[in-house]
Amino acid sequence: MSHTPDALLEVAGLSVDFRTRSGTVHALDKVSLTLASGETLGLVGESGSGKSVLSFAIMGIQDAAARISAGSLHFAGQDLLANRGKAMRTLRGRELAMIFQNPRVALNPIRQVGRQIADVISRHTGVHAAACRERALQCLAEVRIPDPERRYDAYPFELSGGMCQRVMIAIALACKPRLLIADEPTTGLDVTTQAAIMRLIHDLSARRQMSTLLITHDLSLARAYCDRIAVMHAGHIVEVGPSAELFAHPCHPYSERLIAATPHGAAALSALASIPGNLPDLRRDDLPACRFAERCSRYGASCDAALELRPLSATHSVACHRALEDAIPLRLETEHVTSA
Amino acid sequence: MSHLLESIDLQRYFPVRKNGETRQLHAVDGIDFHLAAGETVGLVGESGCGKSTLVRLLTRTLDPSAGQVRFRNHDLGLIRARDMARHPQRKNIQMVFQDPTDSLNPRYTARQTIAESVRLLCGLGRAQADARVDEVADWVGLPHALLERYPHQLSGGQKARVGIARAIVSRPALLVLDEPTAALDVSVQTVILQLLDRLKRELEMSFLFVSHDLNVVRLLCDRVLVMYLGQIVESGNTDAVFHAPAHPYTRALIASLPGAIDGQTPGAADLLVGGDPQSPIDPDPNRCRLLGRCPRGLAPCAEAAPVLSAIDDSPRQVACFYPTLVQYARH
Repeated sequence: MSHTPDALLEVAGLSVDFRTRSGTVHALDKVSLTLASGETLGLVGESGSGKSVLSFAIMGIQDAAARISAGSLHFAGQDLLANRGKAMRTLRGRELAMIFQNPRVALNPIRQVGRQIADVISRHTGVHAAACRERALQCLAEVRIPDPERRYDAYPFELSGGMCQRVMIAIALACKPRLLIADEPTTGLDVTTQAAIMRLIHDLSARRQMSTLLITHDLSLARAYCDRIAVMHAGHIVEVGPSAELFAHPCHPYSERLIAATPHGAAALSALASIPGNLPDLRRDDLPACRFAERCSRYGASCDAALELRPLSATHSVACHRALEDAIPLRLETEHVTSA
Repeated sequence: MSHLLESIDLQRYFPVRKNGETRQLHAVDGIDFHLAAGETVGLVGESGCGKSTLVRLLTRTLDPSAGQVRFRNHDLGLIRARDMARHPQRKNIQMVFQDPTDSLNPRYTARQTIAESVRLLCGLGRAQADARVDEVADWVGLPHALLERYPHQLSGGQKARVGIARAIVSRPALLVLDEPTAALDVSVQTVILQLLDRLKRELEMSFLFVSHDLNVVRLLCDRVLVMYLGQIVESGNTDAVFHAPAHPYTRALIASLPGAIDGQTPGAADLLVGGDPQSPIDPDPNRCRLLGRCPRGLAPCAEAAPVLSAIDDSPRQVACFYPTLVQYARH
């Protein structure tokens, strides 16, 4: 297995199945992506497209019914799939950390929030209790919680949603991880709080050279905060590219429809276009090569052939036989010129 | 001029007991607004600003402490909330709730959910009710086969349609929507918003649309009300408010949108300093409620509370001593 030298996280051909009573769910199918040090990658797609399954697989916290049937996961050169047990427990929380969607559910309701931060520090550094408390207070201050001394002893129900989310970020960042997975970190929060939380994550990751995988279904959020965006549909990554370029010139028909459905920037309600159809039933054993084919207006006979992500340029890839390639002519031409 | 719905100095306080003394939490603190027939008004603000309390007062599921709720010139505030359920006006004001899963009875099929509303509000018999349910299912684009399903057998978008069908089956004049698309995917959200827009025109309803998704409010609403700590701080035509917000809080809300309206990058969100709002418990009546978070915050702001008033000859009203006066050019 070859490794890209500067890749912190490398997911290659990862397939995840769920065995259920009603059949095997093919949740992820040969998913590949890399994340460089200090980079922020946005993972976008509809609910059920496999965004969370991928992040849980990276963290090694997938459901008991899940089975990784193919592929590899490497973090800083270490094979994460070979070390699922004790080795993973030392990595998780220290090198890899995650912010979950609903802070009120993810936090322990009957333990003071400061103690929950101290627990993580204690588990991974083994320093004595007073030092853990000191570090936890610093973490609370770092996520800009006013009056950390007083909030240290608060229970989650005593804090607002935005404050709980800050506590969860403090827990995730307590051991200065190199990779942060943020799964819909601002869903359900006010826009003002959302802006504050996103800036906080953005500033901290810039200061610490931390890589961030931001999972969201809000495309405008991904565009505002991510270097690159990967679009997922029904367990496939269908397009990866630099945020601004992907937004301006989506090459996969699904990316194009997703952007057209986003209210951000639209002039009128009638200008929004919905995506026809639904995700295919992932329990099917006859899933087509292109899982978007049944919803796609560009579908043609050539679409039934085997499909994988192919590069359009050094940074932009798409998995489509009939990609909207004319969308980025300028960039391709300049690439040819420089390589000639 | 007759308004469909009018709220006059509407107030709701909740008593809070702490250390033996009772203090008042001012959830809704003197709200004046009106809504014309056929109009769509958006209500925006942070969580905890009193949006939901205001909605409950207007839909008469909660009794006001003071003030009036006038609907077609009748003071609905005189009807107690507990009697409202059986009041003939009930069918004229209906509501669509935020979470399509939590707001449907898990043991009722979609048909039973909608039919219950028909029987209670329209007094129709079983056969007529069934025909009515089929009709309203067509309005909201719900295939009839799905009517026999339970909520857990429906997708999020389908459940949202059931919630909308239940609300509009009595042909209300006013539909109050409390974040109807917050739990939905972006593509499903588009379908539901377009459905609501079409129903509004076809059934000639007025909407009060509560949301913290400003992009959605911008696309759907004629007018917008911005609420902060129990009071309206700015109101006006949606286009004008979005392109030239006059109140510092409105400016912060709009600047907080990722990649804001005019394509700028995030950063302007620092317009709100501090972070946490003041306590809504017995707030100082002689002080601006944004003080402490407002980047301006000058001496007069700590001596008197600004009242909602016009800033130019447009319908815009702002409660601030130092509104940002930018001429809004319509293009």
